[in-house]
Amino acid sequence: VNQLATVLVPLGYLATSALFILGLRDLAHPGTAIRGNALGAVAMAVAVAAALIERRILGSGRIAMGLVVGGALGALLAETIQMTAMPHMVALLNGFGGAASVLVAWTAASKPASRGRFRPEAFWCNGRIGFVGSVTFWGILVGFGKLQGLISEKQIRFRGQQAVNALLAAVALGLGGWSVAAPSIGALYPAIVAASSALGVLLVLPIAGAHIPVVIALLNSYSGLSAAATGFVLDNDRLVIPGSLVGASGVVLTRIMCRAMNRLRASIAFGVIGPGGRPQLRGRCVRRAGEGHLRRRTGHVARSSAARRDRSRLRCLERSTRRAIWPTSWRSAVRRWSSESTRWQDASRAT
Amino acid sequence: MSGSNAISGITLIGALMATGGEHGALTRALGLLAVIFAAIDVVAGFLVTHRMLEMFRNRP
Repeated sequence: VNQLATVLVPLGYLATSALFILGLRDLAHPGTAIRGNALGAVAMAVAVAAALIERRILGSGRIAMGLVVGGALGALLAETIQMTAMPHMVALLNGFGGAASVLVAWTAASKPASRGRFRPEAFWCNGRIGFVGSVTFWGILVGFGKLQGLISEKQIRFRGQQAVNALLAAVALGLGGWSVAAPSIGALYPAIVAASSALGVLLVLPIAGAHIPVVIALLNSYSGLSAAATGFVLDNDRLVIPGSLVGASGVVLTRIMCRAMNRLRASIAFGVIGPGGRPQLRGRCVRRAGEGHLRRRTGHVARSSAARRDRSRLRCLERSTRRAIWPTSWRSAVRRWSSESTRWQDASRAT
Repeated sequence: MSGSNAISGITLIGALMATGGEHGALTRALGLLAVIFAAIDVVAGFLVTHRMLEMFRNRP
């Protein structure tokens, strides 16, 4: 049985990585997305089984309890949550993942001696997980509060916020460096977590509700990176591959979302506010829809009266689009967008 | 995004490895909490993704 396990476990991990990659590829296309998701779930099950067999902890009641309790809570949440609450739900789950990474790194930080040989890079990674994971968790909690309506969706700012953020980041990084230099001080890790938690809250507070989904996509990618860093700490390469997959795909997704919203990525990542109290726009402006597009759409000849009417409708739609591109909050953007489109529909019905 | 979020729950493996076979009380408590959090992330992540994808499926 033992020999069988030594063969099966590495094979299982190999299959896990391959299945994750295939699953992500399938998720990219609408037709195969359900299969991709199922592949990911199978891969996760295989990975958990392999980890349990490898460490011979199949019989541990504590772990079984954790898995059952967590799994039941997760299933309950997933089945009962309303479809409209999905964005914040996914965000919250993601925050749990980040929190789990922080806790794993904490266990590693609290027992440096039992790990045998000293590895500075493990401590460096530990500090990084504490930093990134806590920023993710608290940032996501604030984002969740904003989308759920628990906190004001508006930008919450105060004087010198950038300076405070920079100070907190410097403190967290300094503590991280200290924990590498003096690994025996166990209290450094909670201190890093505390500083990064405050930073996470302050980073997301000044971001308006409309931009929160972009922030969540970015933080999702961070939580993937912290999972990969957990792999470095535990000297376990099986965490590194899926973690970096998530990190990379999250960065790509953030890029796409920023481009769609015409925003600079850095301005959302750092909560930087441009003139007029809005995150800075990218250098490109919205292209005007011209008569050529209209003709292609409707098949009308430009000079007919129908085309002229369509052109005025198009202008109306264009104006509403331009307004919707500068929303101040998620709800006000939706409200404005829907009122404009009903007005447009009324106008077209009247003619 | 939802699917990749579930994959980032791979940290569950890390949680299992960190908590398995260690005996400190702090380690045990932290590890158990980490396992619970990560299990919520993984299970709900895949289920929620499935629910959302079901909505996009073309019904006959």
